[in-house]
Amino acid sequence: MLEIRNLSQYYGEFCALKDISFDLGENEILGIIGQNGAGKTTLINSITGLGGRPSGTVRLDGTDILGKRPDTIARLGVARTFQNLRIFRGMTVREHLLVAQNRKLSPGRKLLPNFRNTEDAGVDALLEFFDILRFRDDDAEGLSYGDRRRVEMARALAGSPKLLILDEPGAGMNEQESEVLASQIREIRERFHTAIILIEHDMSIIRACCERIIVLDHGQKIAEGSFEQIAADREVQRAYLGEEDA
Amino acid sequence: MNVYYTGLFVTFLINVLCALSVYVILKSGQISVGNAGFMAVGGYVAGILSTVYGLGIPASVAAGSAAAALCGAVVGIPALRLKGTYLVIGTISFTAMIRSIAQVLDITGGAMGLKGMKRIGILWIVIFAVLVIALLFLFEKTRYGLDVEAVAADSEAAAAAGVRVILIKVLSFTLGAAIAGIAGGCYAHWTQYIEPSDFSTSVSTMMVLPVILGGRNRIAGAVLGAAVFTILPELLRFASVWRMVIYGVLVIAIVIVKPDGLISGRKRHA
Repeated sequence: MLEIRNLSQYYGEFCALKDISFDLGENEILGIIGQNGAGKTTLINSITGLGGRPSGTVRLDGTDILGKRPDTIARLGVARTFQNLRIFRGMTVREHLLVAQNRKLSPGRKLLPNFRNTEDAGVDALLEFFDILRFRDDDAEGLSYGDRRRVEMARALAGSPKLLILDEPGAGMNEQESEVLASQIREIRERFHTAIILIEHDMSIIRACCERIIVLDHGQKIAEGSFEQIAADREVQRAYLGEEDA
Repeated sequence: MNVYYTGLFVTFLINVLCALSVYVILKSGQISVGNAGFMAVGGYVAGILSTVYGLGIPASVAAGSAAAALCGAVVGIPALRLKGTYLVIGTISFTAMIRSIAQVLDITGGAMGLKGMKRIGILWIVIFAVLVIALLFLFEKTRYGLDVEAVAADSEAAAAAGVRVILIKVLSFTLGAAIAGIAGGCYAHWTQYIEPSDFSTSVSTMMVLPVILGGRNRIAGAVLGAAVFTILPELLRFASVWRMVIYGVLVIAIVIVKPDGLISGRKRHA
């Protein structure tokens, strides 16, 4: 469904991404790992249209999306979360989901004023799924760090994306929360029929979720394969453990 | 009602329209210190239509508003690339440009100003103000209203959630300009005389202050702010030459005590 060929991103002389190519199948969970600064977030910013002038090809179900505006890409079915939380200040949890849902509504429906708190099974089901239903009408900004992460994931899913990109969803979570998160990510795929790209430092989450993993180092793809293949890769070991045993 | 109170009431209504024109733009996370320019467009177009072309006053005001809206869209597009201070400078420049145009054209009366407008009935001004408030109230209850708030909160995150950020931002500028245009048309037909200096940058600034003071998150805040800015100078008349000093101190005090405005907190979406 996603086809990436020779994706590069330069900031002046600095090469943040170099000739990245990979494919993503329907319903696949792909992990992207690498040290800080390896280009993971740059890669998904390029895919989602945020920042820089990337070159190469990015196709979503055959449609070229590279260089399109972020809202256009989102409306084509790519949703994401942010490594540094991007909560809508002052808005309730429920309103976060309504905003994302808007892309599915017709302009006429969007112009209809709404005065009553209409029940929305879709919103409630998502909140229930992430165990934040009790915060539905609370200000999202006031929630704990972990809960705000869950709001972001619920917001991303509220637009019924074909592709969900999660940028370090496990950051700041403890071991137990990470375990729950890993099972949730696998469940998201089953329930919402979406392909997932997962950026994560927590290897237990990567191992539990991803059929395939891509390793980035200094903006380049240095390895691709299953967790076991990656773990055995000398190039990866060198990037992660240092030069001495190379 | 005697002439004094009638005049004060009309000033209040026009101030409400001015404040709302700024409010709508602020609500989308943008700022305009150029709304006097949109007001000028509305005032001149309405004035010329009613005097030169003999169009009825309400229709002239509506047409002036449409012309201002068009300018709002035209300004709103380059404004997309500007943020914060740069947007302030950009919108101020727009007002200066409109003033210069009004100054050199024959049809606007140049520096001599535009005169000969018949006086608009107060009822029409009331109708325009109520209509604008009602439509804004309804708009904020729609999903577009929710989009506007998301864009103001975090435009990148809103875009990533599929909100058409450019549409929302330009729409807000267009809407704000349309409202300023109505204010201009009403003003031109109330004072029956307008000149370029009626639409100075200080007028633009005075359109922003009531919104900051009254509360930028709520329509009621802008209306209350407009009321305060209409009545306060009158209440301070006893202070004669010290009037503006006391006025300034009071405004600063309110902003310090209530930084989010007199009416703070936003309404939630149902």
